[in-house]
Order: sequence, then structure tokens, then C-alpha cells
Amino acid sequence: MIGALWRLQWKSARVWILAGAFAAGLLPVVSVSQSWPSGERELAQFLAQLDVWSLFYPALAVGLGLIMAAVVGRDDRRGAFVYAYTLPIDRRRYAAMRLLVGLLALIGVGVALWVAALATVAVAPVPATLSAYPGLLAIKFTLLALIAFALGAAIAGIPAAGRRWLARGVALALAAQAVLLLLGLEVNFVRPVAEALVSRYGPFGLVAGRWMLIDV
Amino acid sequence: MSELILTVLAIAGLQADSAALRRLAAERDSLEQTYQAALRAAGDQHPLDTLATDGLVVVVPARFRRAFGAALGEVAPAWLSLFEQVPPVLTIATRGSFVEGDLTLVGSRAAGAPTFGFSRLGYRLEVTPAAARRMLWTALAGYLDTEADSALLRWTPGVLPRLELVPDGDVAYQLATAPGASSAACRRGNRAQCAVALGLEGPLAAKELPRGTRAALLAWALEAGGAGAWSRLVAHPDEPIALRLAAAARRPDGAAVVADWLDAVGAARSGAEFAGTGGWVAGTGWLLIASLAVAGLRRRP
Repeated sequence: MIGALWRLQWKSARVWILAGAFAAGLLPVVSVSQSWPSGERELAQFLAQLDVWSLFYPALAVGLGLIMAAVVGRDDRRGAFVYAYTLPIDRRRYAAMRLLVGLLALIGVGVALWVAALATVAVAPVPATLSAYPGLLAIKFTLLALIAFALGAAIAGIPAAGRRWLARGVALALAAQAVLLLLGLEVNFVRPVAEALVSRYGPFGLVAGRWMLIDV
Repeated sequence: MSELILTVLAIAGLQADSAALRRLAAERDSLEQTYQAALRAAGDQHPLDTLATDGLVVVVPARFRRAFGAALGEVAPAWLSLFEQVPPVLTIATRGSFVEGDLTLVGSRAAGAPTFGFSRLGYRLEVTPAAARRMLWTALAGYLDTEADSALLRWTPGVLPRLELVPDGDVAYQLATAPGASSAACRRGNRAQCAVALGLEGPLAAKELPRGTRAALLAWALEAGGAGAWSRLVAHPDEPIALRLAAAARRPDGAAVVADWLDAVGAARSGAEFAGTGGWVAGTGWLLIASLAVAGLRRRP
């Protein structure tokens, strides 16, 4: 069953999986080669440039996770869940297996990042005073992508009417916040929510912190 | 208010007769009113509040009371412990601007001592206890600046010794990237050259590491030395900075200070800054929660 679902997902999402793996593998190679220092005097500049490149890792992880969730959900909705209904398994088990194959695909992307990061630091000798973190970087990337995928899948699993209400609610809240700001009122209810999402213990807390392949 | 200040001064251990205490209390009342008036004149229309603890009085917008109250509870004991003699009671005033979370330090002053504040430090802070703590330490460092001798000020020009500068990833970053022969030798493990790069040995002009790094070393020495560290640091202004740091940190000599500090910096290397244990656990928890939600919500597609 897992194999059948994997083939189904591969058929519809292979472009995103391959593009994600390619981008994840390219990031460490390009970031290090673009800013590689020619001497000790340039170490600070090297790390500063690497820091800028590091913004792409969480963006790619979250983006890829949400896209994968949307693609997987789209397949089920497009087929009006006929495929799921015809399978001789419990719907909850079907959802769990659907989730599992999505997670496996994203773990594959994380492995691609890890291999590319290992190859990069093997080819480019890291200065003695700096350290390379290919494993931590890949684990953090993968975990963030998995969280984004699972949250996206959970939202995609809400019945259509509920999703519509959720989208309207979010849009209404954003519009109300914009109006309040334009009126000069010191009321900001969007910011605490956003901060809670990316706070240390929030669902996207991993967005914060270091994302450097090479660091002190 | 006068009664409160009398209590504060009594707790602070000031040995003075009641007339002197009343005079000080009157001065404190006057000072507080001056700050309140200055804050209103500066356009702060928010209600103000006054927080008082041993040795410190803080005037803040009332809506920031909770953050500053928590910060004051942490900062005041640490501040008082820096001195062997009880320091003068300080007043620190802040105001909130029209942007929420944007604070300005209006001024600070030691009761009975010359004004050292009113520097109007622009700050963009979230009003969390941590932000309030940073602001309090910055204001208090202004007082330390007035107490510091010229040799100490030359060694950390324009950088205020805030205790929050205890080694973190930024210091490790500065140590790992600073240009110069001594810094490079320090990175390769030559700790004698670390002292040169820090301006503790050799000519002062030879210091290569940024002044923020030196301020972090100073802050670490004060933290490591515990009670009375600041008083020991400024007790012998004619001695070399390395010896004074050793006295403050309760270490035998400057080399021991540098060695222990470098070890502390090494322990704070940024590898742990990827997420931290709490971050990894929280991330895994959210993944499980979301996964369970997926299974639950799919019951009625």
C-alpha cells in the first residue's frame, strides 16, 4: 500500500521533489563557493555573506513543505476522494500513510542537502578556527520542512467549508489590522500571533537560530 | 512617596541622620517629579509608574510596568553586588514613543550625585523583561562610566560594561574573524598572543580585537568575580588592566583571566545555536501534533 501511495505521489509531485532536492543540494555549494575567503582577513566578510545565504534554507524548507502538502491534498480533492474510498483500509490509516510518504519525500530532500553539504566542506577546507555543521543543518532543514508539510496537510484535511471560513477569517483579520494601523491606533493583534508562530517553542520556531553551514 | 524612599534608603544601609535622610527623600521626590514632567513634555501622554527597589528607582510608562518590574527584580541584586560599598540610589526614566515597543531612555541620575544621564539613547525594543533588562543595564553602565578611571576608559572606549555581555556566539565570532597577526596566533592556540590582541599586554595600540570583545571580557570578569567585583576593579587605577581584571575576577593573574574567559567563550560556541534542546523538542512535538491532526481531520473528507 505504501508503495502504491508513493508511486501516486511521485507521479504528481516529482517535479517539486526533484526541484526541492536540487535546490537544497545547490545551496551549500553555491553559498560557499560564492563567498569563499582568500585569507584570514576576509573571514568576517565570508561569514557575513554566508549568513545572507542562510536565509534561503528555512525559506526553502517551509516553502517546499507547504507546496508538498498542497499538492498531496490537491490530488485527493481533485479525485473527490474516490481513490481513498475504494481502498480497503480505514480512512485514518490512509491519511497516516499519505502523510508518511510525503514525509519520506521530504526526508529525501534533506538527505540531498546533507550529502551536498558534506561534499562541499570536504572539497573546501574549512579554516581551523571555524567549524562545519552539515549534519545539524540538514536535520534542522528536514525537521522544519516536515513540520510545514504536516501543518499544511492538517489544514488541507479540513473540510472545504471549514477551509473557506479559515481563509476568510485570516483575510479579515489582516484587513482589520491594516485599517487599524492606517487609523493610527496602537492595536496590533497580528504581530503577537506571528511572533508566537516563530517563537522558540512555536510551530515554526526552527526558522530562527543559525542556519550556517560554516560558522564559528 | 517620601516614606517609601526613606525605607529604600534605610534598606540600602545608608548611615545618615534622619534630617539627612529627609533631605535626600525630598530631593528624590523632586527628581522624580522632574522626570515625570520631562516625560510629559517629551510627548509621552501615557500614565507613568514608578518602581523602586534597593538602590534603584525606575520611572516607566505604566503599560511597561510588568516587564520592568521583572527586569528590576533581576538587575537590582546583581547591580548592588558589584560594589563593596553601597552605591548611591539611582533613578532611571524611560518613555514610550508613538511606536509600540519603542522606548527612549530619557535620563538617569544618582541621588545626590551629578547628573550623568539625559543622553537620549534611541532604542527599538520589544518591551519584554529581557529588553527592559538590557535597557536598565545600559543606563547603569552610564553610572559605571562616571566611576571608571581614564586607563579603564581607554581600554574600552565608548563601550559600557554591561553584564549582559557575558560570552555568547558573537564574541566567539569576533575571536574567530578578527584580522591581525596576534588574533591569528590567538586562534591557533597561543594564549599569550590573545592577551596582546586584547590590549592587555604590549602597547595599547596593538589591540586588534574589537572593543566590544574587550567589554565582553570585562563583563565576564565582573560576573566571575562575584560580590564587590567592580569595586576591586577600580580600586587600583595605577595597576595594569590585566592585574585589575584578575582582582575583579578573583584570578591569580591576567593570563588566568584570559584563559578562563576563552574557555567560557569556547563553551558558548554557536553550534548549539542551531536550535537548542528546547527548540528540537518543540519542533518534534509540533510535528507529532500536526501528524495526529492530519489523521484526525481526515475522518470526514
